[in-house]
Amino acid sequence: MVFGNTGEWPHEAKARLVFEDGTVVNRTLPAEARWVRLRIRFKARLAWAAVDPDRVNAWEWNRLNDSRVLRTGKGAADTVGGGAVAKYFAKTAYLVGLFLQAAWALA
Amino acid sequence: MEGRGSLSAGFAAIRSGRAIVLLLTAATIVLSLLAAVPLGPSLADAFGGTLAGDHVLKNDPRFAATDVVDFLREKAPALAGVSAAARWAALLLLLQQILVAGGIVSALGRPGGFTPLEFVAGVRRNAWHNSKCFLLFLLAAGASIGLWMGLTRAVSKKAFENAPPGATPALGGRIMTILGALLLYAVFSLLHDFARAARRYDPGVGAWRAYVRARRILSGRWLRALSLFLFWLILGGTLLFVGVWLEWTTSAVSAAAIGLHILLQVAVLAIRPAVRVAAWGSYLSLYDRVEAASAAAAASLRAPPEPGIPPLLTLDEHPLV
Repeated sequence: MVFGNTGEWPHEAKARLVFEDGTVVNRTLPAEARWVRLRIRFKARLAWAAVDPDRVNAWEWNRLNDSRVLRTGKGAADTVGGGAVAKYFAKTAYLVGLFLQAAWALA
Repeated sequence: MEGRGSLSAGFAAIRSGRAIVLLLTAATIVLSLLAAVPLGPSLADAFGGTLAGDHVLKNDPRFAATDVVDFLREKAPALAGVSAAARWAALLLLLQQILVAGGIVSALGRPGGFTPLEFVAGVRRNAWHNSKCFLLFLLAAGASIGLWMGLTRAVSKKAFENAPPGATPALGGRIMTILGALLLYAVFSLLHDFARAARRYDPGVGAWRAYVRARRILSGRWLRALSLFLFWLILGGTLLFVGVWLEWTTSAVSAAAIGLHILLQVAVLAIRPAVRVAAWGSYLSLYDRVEAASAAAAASLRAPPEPGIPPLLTLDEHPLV
């Protein structure tokens, strides 16, 4: 797994890797590194990885690019992001539908 | 009694017009899905491949709010795409409403029900008429409501110039303005619906004459027609409010719960079509009664005197009544 600092500010950050069986591994990414590659051999496959998982860095302005979910598993690996896509796509269509029906007042 | 009959005809129209309710709901859903498509890749990118989706779906108290704010900012172009597509979809759905009203007018509430072919024939026959009626409605209602709002604003500005902000009389004035606008909208909406319904009995009537006919039909029955309008407005509004509130407050995390949640959304989107068809059923029932009464009165005027009753020869005879 490759972690990169895409900004201009060198700073230390925590990295968290969670495996399918729920095992959690925490590492520290050094401040001076532009990128860090972590190679871990483990019995379970990687479920997700995130930088600054507890969000202690108050200067971070976009949290959507600080994690990658590859698959789901048990415990900390039990994430439901795929469901969020279905739910919020349906929610968007539903809200658009209510807007469209409001326009019926004209006809 | 006539009002109650029209109301029950409205509820009966939901049963007999199930196919129309389904058609209107399906059209709304298809257009909504098409309008929402631009957001799909952004949702998959932001919520499907990161922990943000998990936070938002589970309503994480620490992270969900910031994830939503980040999504709204980072994916603003996709949201703008949905917004633009929704405006075009609203125009399409408006056109669809104008067309479907032609089928409703010719088919709904007929004794013995109706076939899809009869409905489609009504749509085709009344398409141009309904378009003209819509334009007249838009002009007349827009001008009247605009004039009313402008006048009341000018008057209240003058009358409440020295009133403190939030004063009760000024608030009352604003409420009166809104109620007046609603009344004007109701009047023009009823005229619009009854002008379209005129094609039920006179398939060749033009838009102007249809409005004249609608005014004649509603003359002396405004209170009844406005009561029907208000009834369906309040019933539909209440059902919609409860449905929207239920949908908004129900959480769904598992796949099964999300599926049920989507079904609930479909049910909420079916409320408006059902109430619209019910309102049409009520109006058409009222229209049918007035036309039937007019036809009966015309027939009795044309009927020859009943034979078999001999004229009185002298005033001493007792009349046969």
